Amino acid sequence: MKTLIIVAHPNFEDSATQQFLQHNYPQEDVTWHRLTDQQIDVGHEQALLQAHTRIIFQFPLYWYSMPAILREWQDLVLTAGFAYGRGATLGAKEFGIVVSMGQPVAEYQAGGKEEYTISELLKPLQAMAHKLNWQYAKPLVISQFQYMTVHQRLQLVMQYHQYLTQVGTGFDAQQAWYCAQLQKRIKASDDSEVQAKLKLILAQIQANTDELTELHWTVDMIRDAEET
Amino acid sequence: MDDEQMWLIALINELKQESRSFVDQAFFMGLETMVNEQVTRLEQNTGELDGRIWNPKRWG
Repeated sequence: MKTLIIVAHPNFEDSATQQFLQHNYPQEDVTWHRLTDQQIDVGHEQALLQAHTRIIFQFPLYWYSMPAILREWQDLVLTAGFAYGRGATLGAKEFGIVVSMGQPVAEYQAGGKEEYTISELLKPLQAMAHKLNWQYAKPLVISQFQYMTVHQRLQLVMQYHQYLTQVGTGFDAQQAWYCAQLQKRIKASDDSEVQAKLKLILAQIQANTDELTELHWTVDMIRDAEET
Repeated sequence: MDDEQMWLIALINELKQESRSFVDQAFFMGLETMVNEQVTRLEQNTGELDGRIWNPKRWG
């Protein structure tokens, strides 16, 4: 699976959040594509969409919406006959949003300072995904990055990696993702001691996963028997 | 938490401390959180299984 991150930020160089994400995104199978002031090359943008399975819009929330450049990109790139409508060549995609904001996320709810929820404010993008037959994922919301502790930033990096590359959602998907990451690290490591440790960790995590699956199965079986 | 799981967490912590990059550190920290969740779920599910096996309604 390949992921395309479309980054839209008018002051990219001054954004600590965007700089942080750029420095820490997973390089393998992920394309970082920043929209700049230069004219949008429609053919190139459409080819990028064709070449990726998961499309991410990454932007700061400006006046409860996306920055103008991303809005312009939508108009120019997501055309009838390409993205939707008769003869559309762009197939189904997975679609995610990485949205950052300066206010606490708790204010985005009825009665909060911002009054409306993130889900409500992002409705136009949800409608876009619906129109294009793109599967809409729960957005990754980054609120008040500047106040995050190192621990929170470390957590954010892994949330971001999973958001970009994990297949499926839920704990089973998360376990599978970590196992796949460990396997990649085993292959990539040139330190035999580290490699040995990673192998031991992977084996124990897989044993835990198998045990959990078996326990679920047994509990479900007893529960079914009790209810019939 | 049994010895096997404590050993696993210790091993992950060793690699976390040896990590040179921010991403590596984040990875091992996330891995530790995931393993802790596995352990919690193993304990909860084992508890539920025991409870259901020893259900008095099924006695006699």
